Amino acid sequence: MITRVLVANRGEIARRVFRTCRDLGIGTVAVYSDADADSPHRAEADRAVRLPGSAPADTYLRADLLIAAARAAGADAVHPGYGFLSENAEFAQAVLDAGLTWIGPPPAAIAAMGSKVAAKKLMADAGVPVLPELDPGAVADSDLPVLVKASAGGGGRGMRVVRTLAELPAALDAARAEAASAFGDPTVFCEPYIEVGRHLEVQVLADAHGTVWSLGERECSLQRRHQKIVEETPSPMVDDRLRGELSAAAVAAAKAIDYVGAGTVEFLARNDGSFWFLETNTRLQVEHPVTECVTGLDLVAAQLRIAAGERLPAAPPEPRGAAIEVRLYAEDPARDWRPTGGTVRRFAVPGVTAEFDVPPRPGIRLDAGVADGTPVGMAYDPMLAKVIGWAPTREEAAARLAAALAGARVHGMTTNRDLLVRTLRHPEFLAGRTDTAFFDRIGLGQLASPLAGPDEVRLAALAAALAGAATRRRDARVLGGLPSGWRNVPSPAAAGGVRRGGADRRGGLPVHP
Amino acid sequence: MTVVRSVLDPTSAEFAANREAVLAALTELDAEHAKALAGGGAKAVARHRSRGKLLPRERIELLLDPDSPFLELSPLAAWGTEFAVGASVVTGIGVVEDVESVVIANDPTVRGGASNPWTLKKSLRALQIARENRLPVIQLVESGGADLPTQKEIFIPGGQLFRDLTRLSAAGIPTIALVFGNSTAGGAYVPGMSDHVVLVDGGAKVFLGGPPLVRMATGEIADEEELGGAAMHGRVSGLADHVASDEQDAIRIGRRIVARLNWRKRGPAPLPSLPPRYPEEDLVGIVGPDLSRPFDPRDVLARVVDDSDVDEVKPRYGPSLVTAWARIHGHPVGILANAQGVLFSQEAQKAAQFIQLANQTDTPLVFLHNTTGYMVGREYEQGGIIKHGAMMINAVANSRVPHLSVLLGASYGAGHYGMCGRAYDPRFLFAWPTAKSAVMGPAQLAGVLSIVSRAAAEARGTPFDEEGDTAMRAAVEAQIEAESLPAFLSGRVYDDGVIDPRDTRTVLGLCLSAIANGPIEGVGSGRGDAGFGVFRM
Amino acid sequence: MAGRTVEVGYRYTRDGLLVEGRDDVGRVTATPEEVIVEIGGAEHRLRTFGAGSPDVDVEGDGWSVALRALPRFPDAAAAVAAGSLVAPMPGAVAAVHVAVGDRVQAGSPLLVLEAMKMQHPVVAPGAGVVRSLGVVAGQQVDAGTVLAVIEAEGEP
Repeated sequence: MITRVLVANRGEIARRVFRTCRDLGIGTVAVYSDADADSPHRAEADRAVRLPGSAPADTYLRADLLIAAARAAGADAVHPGYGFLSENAEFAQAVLDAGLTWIGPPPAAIAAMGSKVAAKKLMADAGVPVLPELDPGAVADSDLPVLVKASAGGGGRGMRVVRTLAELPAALDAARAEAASAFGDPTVFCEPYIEVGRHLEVQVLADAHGTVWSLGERECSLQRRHQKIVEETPSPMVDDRLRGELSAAAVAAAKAIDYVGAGTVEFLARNDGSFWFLETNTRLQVEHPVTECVTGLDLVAAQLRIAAGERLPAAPPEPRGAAIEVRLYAEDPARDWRPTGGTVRRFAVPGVTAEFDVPPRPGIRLDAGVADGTPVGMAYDPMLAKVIGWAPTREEAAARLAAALAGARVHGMTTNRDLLVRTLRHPEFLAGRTDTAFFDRIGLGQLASPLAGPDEVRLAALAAALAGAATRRRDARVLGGLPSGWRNVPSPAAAGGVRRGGADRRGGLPVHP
Repeated sequence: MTVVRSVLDPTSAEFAANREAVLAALTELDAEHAKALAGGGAKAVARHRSRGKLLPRERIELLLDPDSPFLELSPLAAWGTEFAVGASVVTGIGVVEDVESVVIANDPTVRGGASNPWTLKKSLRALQIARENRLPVIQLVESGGADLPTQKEIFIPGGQLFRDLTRLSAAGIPTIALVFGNSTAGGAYVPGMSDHVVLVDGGAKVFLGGPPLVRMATGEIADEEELGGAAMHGRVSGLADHVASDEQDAIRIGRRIVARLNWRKRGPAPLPSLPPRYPEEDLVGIVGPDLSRPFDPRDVLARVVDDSDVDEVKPRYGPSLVTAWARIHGHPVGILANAQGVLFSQEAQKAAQFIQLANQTDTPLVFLHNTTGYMVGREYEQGGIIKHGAMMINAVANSRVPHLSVLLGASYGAGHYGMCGRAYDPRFLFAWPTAKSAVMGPAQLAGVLSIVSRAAAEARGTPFDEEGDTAMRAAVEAQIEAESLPAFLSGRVYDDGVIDPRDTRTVLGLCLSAIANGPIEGVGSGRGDAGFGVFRM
Repeated sequence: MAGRTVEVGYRYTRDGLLVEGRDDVGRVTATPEEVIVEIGGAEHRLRTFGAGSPDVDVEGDGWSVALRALPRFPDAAAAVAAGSLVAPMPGAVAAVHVAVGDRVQAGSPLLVLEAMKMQHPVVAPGAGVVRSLGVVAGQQVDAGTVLAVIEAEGEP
């Protein structure tokens, strides 16, 4: 019986887990670093414990502090979210050793998958197709291009594409450093890099009694820096036959390691339908909401029930419609995806029909880590929110999601919003040609250009000037009721060149840098 | 509340004709204003700009709170004289850091900003407005000093400028001088007598005597910077409180000075207000070119006062004068408005009583002029029209509440006095573009002259020159007509400006708010004793 | 578009809003939060956030623009920074820490002036280059003597 869950994570995933806990009558505990002191996840939890410092290594990666926090706040279970220690078998074991419930697969299953190198062997043995693994020390010219990956990794951290042998040593060093920082394990490996592929993954759910469900595939081919930004289900390239093969492989993979809980088996596919096992993520995925939308399941609730020993029904629910998720990032796609950051002045998405939850009918779901006034720093992943569109068809989901994003209020920093909208509205996307080379093929020049063109900017500047005038008239302590800028002898409006400051009633309004 | 009923028919031919005449007069007015805006002409403006300097109105615009209103005063000063329209200075009331202030800015593009007799008169009027209404004064100084050919008209009275500045300061009204350029000889006393002084580095020159004069006087050779540069005054003489890096910086500092004045208005704050229920636009169709046709001032009130809400006093007694309570932009006012042109004994007594009531309740008075004067004739003289007119003039002259006058149509004879003409010190006086003011109407005046000369000829027994008389009448009529016109009176700074009738509410609201910087007290207010009760007449 | 400056000149008149450089603007309703502008016969409804403050966000129909108002006046601190450093009082130059051509930061010690038994450090008012030094150590100076001239960096 779980009564109070500590989420060993931050941002939107912490809020996501809290939502389910609240619905199930379970208490919530947040942990927060100093950088997250003003984060909504702290404010929303019933109880919160500070993790001093801001660096992940000092805070969300500190197993000892997290377990102490759980004890201090009276939690009897720990949910790891994704990232950080979510796939760290030692942490899972430490949680169990502390007498707490671990909401995730058994440490042994995590360990089996934790090493991607070992995992691939295991899968090959279970009959799942795998890409050959290359020893970083023995990569030859003919193997190129190769992908360097962190063995303990996920989320694109510690990944590098290497196209010439000369780049390899530096790429390995960088990947090791990143892996060590992000996952506490510097081990990396190489595999052939498939330039134009499709990233497919299958959501599995397994109980402790031998039932393993496949909840269908998700496609997450649109990535930047190996990090997914658009995810959807079903995949436009997957037909029933391929779906059957993928599901069978995923269930086999889960069974091979006695998997329990929610997990994801990732595959790399070609347009011809051939596919290879990539890795198993022994945790909830960032993109789990699309699966929730089409299946109607609450995967976190399922995790909690499985952790409490409950049984799954014999068969999963039938999927309904199509769902697309986009990740809204504080980053500037036009400037090499550079993280921007700042303080979120205002945040709102129109037409949201559910937050952290499956909408009651097709609509827009929002899983946001930020709210008005939340600071977004450089300490963590700059994801602000996930916005999910769910509709009877993929086209409708894309249109609906694009409209919600275009109308979204995300003030205070540059984001990838306009890129996401242009992507969702692009004919290539709508035609389902969403391979991993999508951004390179279409070009960021087109996709990252702002939705507001020169005319809109001029109109916006005019509106800003007029609203500013209205504000000043409203706030004037004297003569506020007189006509704005009234003159009995008006100077000619075009009084020649207006220099710095210039005559009044002219505001220079540069577009935000 | 009592919404006034307006009988104006904006679809009538008369309205259309009136409108056409008023719009034509406004077009002419714009042309005269344009002369003031043009300053010293395109070449002088270009030369001024080429030195990186701002024009006086640009300085003002930058000084004022963005989007706040600005009432330029006496823009037609010097109209009809040998000097440029506007008299090489811009004056007005504007809002700086939420403080209503009097702004006086020299126009250096007009003969170097030199002062002529009209510059002086206009500047002194602005200082008078500052003193009477307790408004801080901000001078934007750049003037070559006195216009030497007219020095005889300026030198003696000109001293009042500096006297008034320091008296303002003594009265607790802050004075600020931002010096952009020359401010030399007598002009040096503008910063000299101001409470706060900002000099623009590289621009301001403030000295009693320049290099040639110093050399003549003492043989000393000194340059302008040593004698009066901003850096010197900032570090050595201490005349400057602030040395600004450029003109914009000077204006910025000036705004900061005002922000730190800890200014509090001493009059009542305005109440919430609603706009009139009738369109302001109609105000151009009420008064026609023929002032012998009376109009109903209620048509004006309905378009000027808050919510068109008017409570008349004694509506049936002395109906040729409307006396009423109302509000303008939230400021309570008593209004006296001529209805039929002529003031009879009843109207005069009604006015005297109403003025006393306003004094009892500290309510400012607004006089809307359209009068041909007090009634003449046997019956009226015998009825005591002089006594009754005197009561009204007595009341107006001794009333202590602020008065505002607007000449809507005619303002002739003693009626001009009784309705608080310029000599009766209204805080502000404005004219509509078709208004006229004189001792009497031009035709009447010419006719009177003709009768008098005919009588003189008869007395001498000489034949009367009918032809000459006709020519004389025409000439006199034309001269008086010209001298009755608002531009003429405005040119002599007998009013504070000619306004678009549609701006009447805005202008009065701005003036009433400015007035509320000082206390608003009627006769006996404060000591709670006016000496007598209000006389019922 | 980022970093571009858009100038807006506008004036309310009896006949409506005048906007410099465009004649297609019709009826306008403006409040601090919402502006409705008729352009070419079609009404555009724009939501404004932070109007009157430096950072303004404007949302239109499926787009948004972030703007920053240019300051009305030059930066006062920058205006004070430049130029010559003069002796605040008569005294002796106790030490000179810089040479002509040296690059200095705001607050860098330039020299020390000794007067009335007090050591007064003279520091750079802003980042820049020492263009000239008017004194040497040991020299007696009067108030107002130019001690050094610092040319500010990044002067427009």
